[in-house]
Amino acid sequence: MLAYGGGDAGAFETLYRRHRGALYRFVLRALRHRATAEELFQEVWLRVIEARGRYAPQARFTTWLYTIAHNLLVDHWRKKGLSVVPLDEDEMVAAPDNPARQAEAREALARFMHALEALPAAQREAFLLHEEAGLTVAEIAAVTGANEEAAKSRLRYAMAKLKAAVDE
Amino acid sequence: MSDEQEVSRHYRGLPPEEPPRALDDAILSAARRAVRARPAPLVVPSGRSRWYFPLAAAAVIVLAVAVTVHVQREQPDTEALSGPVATTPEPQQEAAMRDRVEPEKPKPAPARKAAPSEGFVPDPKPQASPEAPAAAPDQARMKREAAPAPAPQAAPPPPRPSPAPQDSAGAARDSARADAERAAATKAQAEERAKAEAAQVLGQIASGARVQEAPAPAPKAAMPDARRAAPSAAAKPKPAPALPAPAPRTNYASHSPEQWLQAIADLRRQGRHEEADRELADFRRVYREYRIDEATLDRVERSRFK
Repeated sequence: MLAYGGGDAGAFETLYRRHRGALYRFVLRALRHRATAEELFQEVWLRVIEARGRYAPQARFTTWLYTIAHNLLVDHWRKKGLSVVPLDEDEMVAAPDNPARQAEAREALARFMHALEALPAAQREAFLLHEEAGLTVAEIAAVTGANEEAAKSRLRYAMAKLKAAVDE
Repeated sequence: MSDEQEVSRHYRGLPPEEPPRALDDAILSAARRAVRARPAPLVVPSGRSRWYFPLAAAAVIVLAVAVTVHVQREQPDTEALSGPVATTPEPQQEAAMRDRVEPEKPKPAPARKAAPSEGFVPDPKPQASPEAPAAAPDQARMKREAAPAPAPQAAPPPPRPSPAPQDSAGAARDSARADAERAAATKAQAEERAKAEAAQVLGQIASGARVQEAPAPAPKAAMPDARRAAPSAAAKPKPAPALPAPAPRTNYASHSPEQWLQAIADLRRQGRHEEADRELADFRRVYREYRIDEATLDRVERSRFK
């Protein structure tokens, strides 16, 4: 990122190639809406481009990148009137009403995907940050702005529900 | 296999979603544009600044030159303006001065002969024109009074060497000097009795008069004679032969009032009462508000001089 900030466009391409898939899947599976996910994915990278001059390596680039994504997700959810962290973390989010999406989930993702989509947003985000970005609990806490106990709890709940879905 | 690893394995089994190619291209091109465009904003302002400073410097230089030229042009204008002001009352003052001076000279010709007594070498040229009538100065004066137009011509007396008829050299010099002093005095009155300034102006004028006196002045009173004697010579005046320094009188007007009065007193003591009278009259004309104390009056006034 520092190299890109110094004017090396190739450095950005390297970063992009390294993080594009994971970030895209993180955003897509967090939002569960492709068009919105693509829009937000592009917005994340535009923020990175804009911030190239003032970027300071205080943490891993991955942490910084997913922090941007998280903040944009929060903005998106707030616009939709949704809460990032449900009051009852065990509350199951209703499955999408969209029959087409349910069919797609049934056909493509089977039950795991359904279970993932069914996770509360905070738990799903914690799981996706762990699986896609490879963040530790501490890093998840840093990205999401939560304390480590909350991040650890979200991740544990997500794992348990997905394990249950896999075991079914 | 732990639960976490099993979940991860199942998650990796999901179809690997990738961003569309168009989205990749859009983001990468945006990144390249940003890198390329980064100098662009710097280039545009630097392009402006590249011209801004030279243009600003050029504008400052042009302005400075314009102001300098303007100031240099203004200075002659002020001098030219002060010229007419100084010469405006000239016809009347000149006539009065001539009336005051001329009774002392019975005729111009004797005055011409009296000139050597003042240390002047008579100019042979005027003597070589004996056809000049004795009443010529009066006629010339009448001409000048009838047509005061020539006065402004002589207002800033040109430093050209005049024919300098020595018969009236002293009177002409006095007249010129008195004219200059009167002009300065008029200006000083207009400037609310600025005594110091008046002295300075008088000093400047008198110094100019002194410069003109040195080569052989007689700018006004001598002119009619010269024109009458040799009209063509008036246009091309021959330089006067080398005269000894006409012993110019000290310009007391440039001194302080006290110095001027002291000089008048010295003239009295030397018996040069005519000069002392003239100086005293000039002094009173210039320093109208100046109160001369009694002791000084005893030394400078002829009636009280012992």
